[in-house]
Amino acid sequence: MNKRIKAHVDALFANTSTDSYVLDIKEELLANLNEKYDDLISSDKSEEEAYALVISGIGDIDNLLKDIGQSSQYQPLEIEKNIQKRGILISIGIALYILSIIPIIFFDQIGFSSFGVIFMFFFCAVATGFIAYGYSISKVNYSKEDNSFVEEYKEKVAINNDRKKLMGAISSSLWSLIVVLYLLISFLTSWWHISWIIFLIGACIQQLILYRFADSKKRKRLWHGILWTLAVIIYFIISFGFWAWTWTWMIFLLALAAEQIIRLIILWKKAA
Amino acid sequence: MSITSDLIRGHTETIIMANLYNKDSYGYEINKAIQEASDGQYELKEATLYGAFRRLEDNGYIVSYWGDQTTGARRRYYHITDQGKIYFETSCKEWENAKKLIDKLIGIGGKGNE
Repeated sequence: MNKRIKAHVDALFANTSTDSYVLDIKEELLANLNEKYDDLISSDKSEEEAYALVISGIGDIDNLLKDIGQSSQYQPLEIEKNIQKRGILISIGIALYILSIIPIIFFDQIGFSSFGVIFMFFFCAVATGFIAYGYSISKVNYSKEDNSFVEEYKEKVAINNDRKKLMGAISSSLWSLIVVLYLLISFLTSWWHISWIIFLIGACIQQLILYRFADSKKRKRLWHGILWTLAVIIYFIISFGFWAWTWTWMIFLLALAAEQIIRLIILWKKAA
Repeated sequence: MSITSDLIRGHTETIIMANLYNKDSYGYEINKAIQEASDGQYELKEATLYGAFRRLEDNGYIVSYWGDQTTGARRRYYHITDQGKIYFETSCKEWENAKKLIDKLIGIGGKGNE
């Protein structure tokens, strides 16, 4: 039994049910393919050649699977699960929006009305997250109709779109959360003159998220943004913290040096 | 094989039954026989083969059973039924008629093999 052949057949039958007649066809196919493979090997074909000949001789089993009531592209069941997941997430989001009024009423009663506003924003942030994520789950995963370049390209575009939607979801919840944190910290500490730095931190986190999701081409541009946002944040934190404005500007020199070092490291990695 | 494979595909079932007429056989053996008979020019894809097996079996022209192999995976053998034999002979006659007719039609303009 050739492992590679078995793996290929398993992949072809990946989305089929485990009914006995399906397993029968699979078993028959495997037996015939393996015998063909053995014959080819004994007629002095190399392992690679034999494998390629065997696999190319299978042909298109999609029609065959459809005839016996299976689908090799995607199971209707998977689509249903996706739709259900979507529905649940969006409903939870809407519920949270409606519930967000409660903190205001509650906190107003006990006299901490500002907390009410903060908690309302918190609920809204979480709600936005749920809804955005729910929308980002596409109902159907695009599946290639054949192995042509056109289909592969369409598949890549579809995956890209899904990724963009997910990023959008994460971004919107991130920013709602930042607003919440900002208001919370500001009200609690009354440091309105520095709590705005939170927005810088938010921008930095956003860059990091983009970096994580980006491919190597974009990453080259992104690390600049991350480095410099980080430098600005550190500058302000140290300045406000120690009130040493006279020398904290040197942080930017450090950032410049760090930038060159990172650039050298990247070049070195490429050369290696 | 380009145009010819479409032509042959229409007769896949007849070809399979020809292989089963005198003795039972299984997938790969039939495939091998076809390749040898066509001097390696025509290869029947597994998917086409199994599709034909199913149709023939659904119509009752062949029946299948598992062999009792001692080594390796089980082989699925096919046996032609009496109904299948009748269907086979009818298909052969139909092909003969079609062949004669097409030859006549092609020969209308005076071209073609005489």
